Amino acid sequence: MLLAIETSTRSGSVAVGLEDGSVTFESLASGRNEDLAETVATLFPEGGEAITSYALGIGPGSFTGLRVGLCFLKGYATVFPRPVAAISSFRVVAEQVFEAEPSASSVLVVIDARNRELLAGRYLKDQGAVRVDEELPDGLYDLAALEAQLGDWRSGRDLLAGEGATLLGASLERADAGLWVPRADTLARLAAPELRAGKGRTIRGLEPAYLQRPTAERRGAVHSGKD
Amino acid sequence: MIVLGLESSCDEMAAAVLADRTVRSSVVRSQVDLHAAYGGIVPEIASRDHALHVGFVIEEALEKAKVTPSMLDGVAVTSGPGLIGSLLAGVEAAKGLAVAARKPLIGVHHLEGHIASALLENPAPEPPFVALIVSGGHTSIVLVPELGGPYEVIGQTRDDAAGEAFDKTAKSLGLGYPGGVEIDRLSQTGDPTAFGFPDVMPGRDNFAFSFSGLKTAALRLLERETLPLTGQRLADFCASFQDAVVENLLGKALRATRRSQTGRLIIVGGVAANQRLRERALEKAKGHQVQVYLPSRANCTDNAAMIACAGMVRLARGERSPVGLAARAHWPLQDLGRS
Ligand SMILES: Nc1ncnc2c1ncn2[C@@H]1O[C@H](COP(=O)(O)OP(=O)(O)OP(=O)(O)O)[C@@H](O)[C@H]1O
Ligand SMILES: [Mg+2]
Repeated sequence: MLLAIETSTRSGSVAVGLEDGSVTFESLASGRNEDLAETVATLFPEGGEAITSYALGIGPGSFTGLRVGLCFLKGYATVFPRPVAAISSFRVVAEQVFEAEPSASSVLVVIDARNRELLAGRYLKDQGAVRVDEELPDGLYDLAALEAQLGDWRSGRDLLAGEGATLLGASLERADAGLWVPRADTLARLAAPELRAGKGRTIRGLEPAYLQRPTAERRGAVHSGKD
Repeated sequence: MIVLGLESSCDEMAAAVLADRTVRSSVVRSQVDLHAAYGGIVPEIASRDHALHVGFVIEEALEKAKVTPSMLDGVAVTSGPGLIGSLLAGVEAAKGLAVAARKPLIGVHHLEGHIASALLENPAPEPPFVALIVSGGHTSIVLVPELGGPYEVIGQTRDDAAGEAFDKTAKSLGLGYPGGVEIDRLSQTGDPTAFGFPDVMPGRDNFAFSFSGLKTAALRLLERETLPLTGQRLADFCASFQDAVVENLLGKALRATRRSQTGRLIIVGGVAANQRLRERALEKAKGHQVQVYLPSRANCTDNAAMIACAGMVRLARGERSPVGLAARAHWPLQDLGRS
């Protein structure tokens, strides 16, 4: 049994994957990622002994949201230590778009990182298999530089997803906004083969894919820790 | 009763296992080095470090205590007040552990944790007593009728906390962060009468503090000096400033204790680790016919044993937090024990 958690956006979700490939999906109320514990408790009223592995959407996304999922899972895994597949939340979105749009050849996922910067990652479909585009892997990009890099690059039917889509001037076709939020059931389906292949890792030293340094580190700004 | 405590309200991630009143393990991961360069705590840096280390810290505490999650009678976690991102790391991990192990969860007020730190000593004070809470974020005199509250705040600071005054003054002296520890160390060879500080918020019935006033007085005095202060002059300045803070804190706390007729005063929070404060508290208490209780120095600064202790008292009374427990950045101590 696989427990999958995706809390990188305001609309978090949890999924349970069974050996036969079936997946149960529970969405958390919008803006209520901290309901995760309650939801997991309801999904496993008899306890989580049957869980054999975990999948976690590791970001990029909301720093707080990512920490909710990660810290909850770290606490949970103290009791049930199992391998975890940490999967890019952008990869999850790309998968959703490719599933819904079989004719798509690339998906660019973008979210706003403020100050004219974007977190972006491009995924390509190559002979049926989805892989990250090494030219534009998940990372922090300057808006103007990204637009320049996009230029008139085309691979076929190229789709844009993520709430940063509106910031890009590039005239890329937008995927249905209903696909922009990474879902835990998609994550579970992506993680299953990885975990079967023994690619799971221990969770203790795991960190979210922030892909952005804290503002203070970048600017040398000083905050007081007191309220 | 065996309780796991978690604390991450600020820049320390801590886990501890308490078996009745015996501390079986107490692990504290301090982030002082991470924030030192900024001269203060950077919330996002603190949150990231907590999220990275929370699993290691919990496991270390359980291993040292030779306790498995199934042996626990409950999980206690600081759920406020504090930095929201910091709190969240501990709260979510505690929820994960409690849900997985199907154990009761209890959210603890950080300052109630500091109060409970006095109960870890032998002999422990019996309530009712007065608590002087002196830390990086708070300075209050509180009447504790029983642990769990409701608490009566007799007096508190109008501006800076005592620890903050130490830290800010240390900063003006060019000392490292956190400054309280540095001032404590340098004061040991200093003359506390070398510099004159005003008596802030005087008056027999005045239990309020103003450490911003003392900090400003320190800056005025420094204007007349050749900076940076070094050697004996620096030691003298530290000792004088420290003395002003200590006498101010103790004068008010002892008077409040006398008035409360409880006869007992506990001094808790990071600043209670201060050597001069500890010595003077014991000396002055005699004249006031007050029994003073001081936690061991390690239990003064943020730790999880005190959180486990406060949580244990509440769990023993049958209290539980829902698994939906949310972290609270703001949470007045006065709200405790009132429904
Ligand atoms: N020996 C000492 N002398 C004076 N001050 C000290 C000493 N040791 C620690 N402090 C001060 O104690 C404070 C830290 O205490 P503590 O860990 O309880 O604070 P906090 O948790 O940051 O604040 P709060 O408990 O109010 O949320 C710092 O301001 C530090 O300078
Ligand atoms: Mg504290």
